[in-house]
Amino acid sequence: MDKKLSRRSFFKASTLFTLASACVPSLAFAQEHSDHMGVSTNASRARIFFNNQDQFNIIAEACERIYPKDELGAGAKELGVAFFIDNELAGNYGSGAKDYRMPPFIQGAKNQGYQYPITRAELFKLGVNALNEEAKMRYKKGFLEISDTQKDEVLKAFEADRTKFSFGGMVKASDFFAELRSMTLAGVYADPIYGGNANMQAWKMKKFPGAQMSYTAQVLNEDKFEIIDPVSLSDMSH
Amino acid sequence: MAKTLKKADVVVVGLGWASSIVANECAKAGLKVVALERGANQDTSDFLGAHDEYKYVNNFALKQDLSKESVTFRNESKQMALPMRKNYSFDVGNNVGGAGVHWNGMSYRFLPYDFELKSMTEQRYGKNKISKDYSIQDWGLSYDEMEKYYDKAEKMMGISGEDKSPFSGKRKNPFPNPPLEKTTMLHKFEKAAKKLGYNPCMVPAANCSQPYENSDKQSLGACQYCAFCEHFGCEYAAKASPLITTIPSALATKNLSIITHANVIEILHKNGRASGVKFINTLTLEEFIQPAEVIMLGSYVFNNARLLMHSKIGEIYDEKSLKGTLGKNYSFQITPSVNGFFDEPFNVYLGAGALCNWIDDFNGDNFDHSKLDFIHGASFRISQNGARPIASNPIEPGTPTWGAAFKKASVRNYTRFTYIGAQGASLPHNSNYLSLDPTYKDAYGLPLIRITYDYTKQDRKLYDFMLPKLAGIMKEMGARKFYTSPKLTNYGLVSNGWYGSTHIAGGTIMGAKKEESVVNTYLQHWDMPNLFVVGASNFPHNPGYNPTLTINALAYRASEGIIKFFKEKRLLA
Repeated sequence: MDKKLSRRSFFKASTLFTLASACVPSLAFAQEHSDHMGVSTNASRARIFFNNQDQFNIIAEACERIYPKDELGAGAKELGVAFFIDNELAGNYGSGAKDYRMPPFIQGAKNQGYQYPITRAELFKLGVNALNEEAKMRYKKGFLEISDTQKDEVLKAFEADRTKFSFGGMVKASDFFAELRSMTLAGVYADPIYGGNANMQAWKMKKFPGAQMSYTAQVLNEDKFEIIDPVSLSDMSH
Repeated sequence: MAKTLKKADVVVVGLGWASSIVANECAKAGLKVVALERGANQDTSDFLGAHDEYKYVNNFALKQDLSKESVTFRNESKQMALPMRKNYSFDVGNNVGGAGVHWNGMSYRFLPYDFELKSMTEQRYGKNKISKDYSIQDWGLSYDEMEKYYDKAEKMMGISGEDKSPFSGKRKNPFPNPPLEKTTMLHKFEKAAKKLGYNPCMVPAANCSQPYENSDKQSLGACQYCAFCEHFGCEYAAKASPLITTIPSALATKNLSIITHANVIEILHKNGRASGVKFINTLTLEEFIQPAEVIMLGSYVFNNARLLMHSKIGEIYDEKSLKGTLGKNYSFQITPSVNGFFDEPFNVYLGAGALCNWIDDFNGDNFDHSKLDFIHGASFRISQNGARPIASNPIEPGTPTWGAAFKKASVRNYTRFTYIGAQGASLPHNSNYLSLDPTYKDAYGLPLIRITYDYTKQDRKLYDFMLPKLAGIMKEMGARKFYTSPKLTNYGLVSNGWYGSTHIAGGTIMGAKKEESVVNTYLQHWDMPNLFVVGASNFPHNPGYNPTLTINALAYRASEGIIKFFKEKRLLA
């Protein structure tokens, strides 16, 4: 489901690194450096949170509908967003390590925020299963088999709490959707060191220059609009 | 059994701006100071390569760890307060330097009107301008009395600014540094505001516009406009923070010792005198007692009030009887705003935390309120802090929030979007306060602080009044489309996606009279002369500005009080 970057685009990416980072002494070094970290859709990567490949694929497909490939450029799949989410679910984000998790868990008003006893890792497992069940209830096929338009319908039902599938009062479908949406955007736009935003393609689309050291030159140049090739933290030098 | 440490002259609780100023002034005066900080140590070298939005913004790397401690919240007393389980609001700091490390750097002085809110309002509009349910009061110090402390704070922090707002209180000295450079957006705002007859001015910034040696001979670098200020530490030492000013200065005297991972749980006292504090080492869970001649609380609004409540010092405010002052006058801020979408792209990615242009024409009592049914107002500001890609996905109302149309719109608008945010004053109301939560506890078994807060009628009137004024400026700036923020509903911890404030105030308010305040104008506790409490928790209402400079000015005032106390050993009021 995700492709290794072609030789040509890989070379192009390496060149960008070189141009962007005056401190990198040679192209050879830049290439080696990029090879080491940059290609986050490298097929040698594997899931570390989801036990089941289908669960991972459902997340990947759902993220792609949230941030699809289009004429502007890559979508969530090509950016490696599912790997990002899978990684995060396996760590502090998934277990809510810095969240307040003491009982009692009482559902309150919306403006009192998240009050579920379950962690976000558990929320995603429930959510992935629910996406698949919802697809089956609506279209008699699993989430991976339905069309893009049908996937959108399922996601819209989640967003608006209009699912046929019942969560048995445990969570709201919309809460899972909100978390999935915000993690998709994080995976799209976080620094590539987190495994998404492959080759900074999302930054290039948005014209965000990444981890630059200084913009004093731009400010002093009357702040004329400028598109700057992005730099990842892995290439930021002091 | 808690281990008792060697007695200090002064113990400061928390080591953010307020405590570090007190620690520095006392240490320079020859007093032996111990600082107790619940978090870890950190310095500028920890911020090299920290341009990481996901780590510092999404995952709150420098913020309070909620698994140890949070707050509970409800809108009104008949509701059950629930804990803030995810880090939605407040931006509470957690390590040496506190929130003074990850702040933006906006450094306004409050208006003369703020310090004498009650008497100036009554003088101009009579005694019945505002309902008695709003517990407004004078602060006990006038702007003129505060001026020298503001001046000290600005010189220590190296504030970059211009004295151009006709509404600001009189300054004795110019700003230590010239203002930051203006960007295209700031020029647009300035031009539009002038055309509408307003008085635009650069926001005083703690992002240094040039290299600077401060009043304690500490060096600050020049801002690089790299746009990683709020939520981040500054790798250039160009954003004033305790780590590069007050703390190294105090350490150089050899009179300050810092104990990290020290979470204070109680102020020990007997017969109206504090004897020390009890703290837990958060790594070993061992308990210690740090005796001291003077105790100064300089943690965030919540913990200043909470520690006094736990330690049973002062009378906790009761909503029904209106008795007690501890926890009273908790206030937030009112933040109407306007979003603007432009045709041409801008360098939205660059900026500095306090790289902003501002008008004060609708703040304080700078405009006539005689025909209006609210008092006070809001400062308006355009900010060039740097838009970051995870957080900034601007779309017009009606655009889907995900999918193909969302992607197209948010990618295009990213470089074509700005907003004008207003920081509106929040007046204290009898039904808004802090107390101890009866249900939820922190990691050490102590009750969390409970917030009971909602917007009031005054807030809604103020909010509605500001919207068309904000829209007028955005229109004049040439936005293709602009949208004002939605109607003010109930206050909540969770953002509705529009510009919001993290500034809170009250709980341990200052005043000239014991009946209406927790501390006097030296920030000295009325019931305990060797206990001082400093922070935005001292503000009797929350003005229409960022709080830090005034907190720091009050910390200089408190330092003067503490040094005076060592000579006179009495209540200073």
